[in-house]
Amino acid sequence: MRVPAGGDPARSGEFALVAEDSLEGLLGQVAKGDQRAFEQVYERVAAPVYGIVRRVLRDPAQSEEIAQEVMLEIWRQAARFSVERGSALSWVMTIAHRRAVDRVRTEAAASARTARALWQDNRTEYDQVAEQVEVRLEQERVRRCLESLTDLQRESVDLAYYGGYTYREVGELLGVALGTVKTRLRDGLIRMRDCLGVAR
Amino acid sequence: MNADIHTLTGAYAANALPADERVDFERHLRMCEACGDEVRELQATTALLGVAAALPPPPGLRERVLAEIGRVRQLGPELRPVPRDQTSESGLPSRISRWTRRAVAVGIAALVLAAAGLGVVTYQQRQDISQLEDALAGARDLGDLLAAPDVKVSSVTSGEATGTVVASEQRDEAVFLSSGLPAVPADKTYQLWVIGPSGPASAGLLALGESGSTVPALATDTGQAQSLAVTVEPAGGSPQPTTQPLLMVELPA
Repeated sequence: MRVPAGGDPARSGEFALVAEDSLEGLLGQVAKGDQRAFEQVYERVAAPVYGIVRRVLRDPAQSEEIAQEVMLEIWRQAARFSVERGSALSWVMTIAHRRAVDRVRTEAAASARTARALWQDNRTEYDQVAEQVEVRLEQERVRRCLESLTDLQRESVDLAYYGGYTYREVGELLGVALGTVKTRLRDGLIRMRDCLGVAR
Repeated sequence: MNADIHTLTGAYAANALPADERVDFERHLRMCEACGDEVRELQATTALLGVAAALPPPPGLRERVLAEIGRVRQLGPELRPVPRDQTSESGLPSRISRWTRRAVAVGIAALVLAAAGLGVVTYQQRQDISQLEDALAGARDLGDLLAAPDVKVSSVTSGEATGTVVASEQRDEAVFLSSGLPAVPADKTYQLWVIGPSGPASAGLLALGESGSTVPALATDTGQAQSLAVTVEPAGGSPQPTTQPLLMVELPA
């Protein structure tokens, strides 16, 4: 798996040509119905997609279902991807995270989440992926950057993004005013952006 | 606009806005270029947070996904007759092909209506449509929408005006037809809206034909939508409706 396709397109700037084997280039081919290009897209994004969905939903069965929907959505919507609106990886991960969050916010799924899976330990699986050097480096970078945040920034980002909670729920959980959560989420992510070197 | 809304870029990029606020913020985004840049950067940032959570996908997922794509039709590129964020003339070529699609789709829509005996289609409209069909008989997309096995029709009359929707849930598309809408002054236009869970989204401008019916319009992303609506807007269209709808047709259930 080649995860860090992530940072690269963003870093290369908006005037860069889209290389054919970049995720952007592959999506362009997928948009024209190229199933082999889609297989390559799958290889690159399936683990991040499944990972973030699983992180938010916890429940393996639901996560698999949503990950499958996300992959099909990528196939279906490939022609709607536009480099002007961000990198391909951003686009994919936004679809994945939003789908997971939408599922969480339906009541039925919420109860399944708490009942079944809240206490599950995913450590073994994390270690499996972490065998791959690129992923481990990326995880390490993200972990280090998260540590550079203030406690309130980190908790806000963690609960909102990995927890799939709305900022209102985050405010409730942390016992802070809604305005504070909004600004902590924003300045926390801005600090993460700068720490991770995401292109301006 | 509430100055505070600019601070929502973080919550938006983390998908932490409740549905209603997401809609409001997306509306704001269309007008706030600086917010758009910041959202893009923060989404690139959250994407890396997501990547850091990568897990090996379950065995079998790949095969199921690859088998499934053979059965999932892809959406075409977004051709917006009225760009949602701005009004520009540069979309002209795509607009033409879009109109071609629309006209073709509607030809068949009309046949279905006629066959269904709904009495919505007037003789004049059928004449117009058969002319269109003749002209466009070779067009590739012929039958695309109406060939869908789940195509359904709904219709509403309000005063003199009648609006009809032919929709396919599977294809996520609908054709909108109307007759009896009054002519609008040159500085105004009719605009079609898809009213979905996140509010109205423009489905383009409606041109009024000679026979008093609007040129058939294809609306996409209708799967989750409740209805289609027509409003009068300033020439060139609006990003969001600025007047009350003259016609509002529920999508067939």
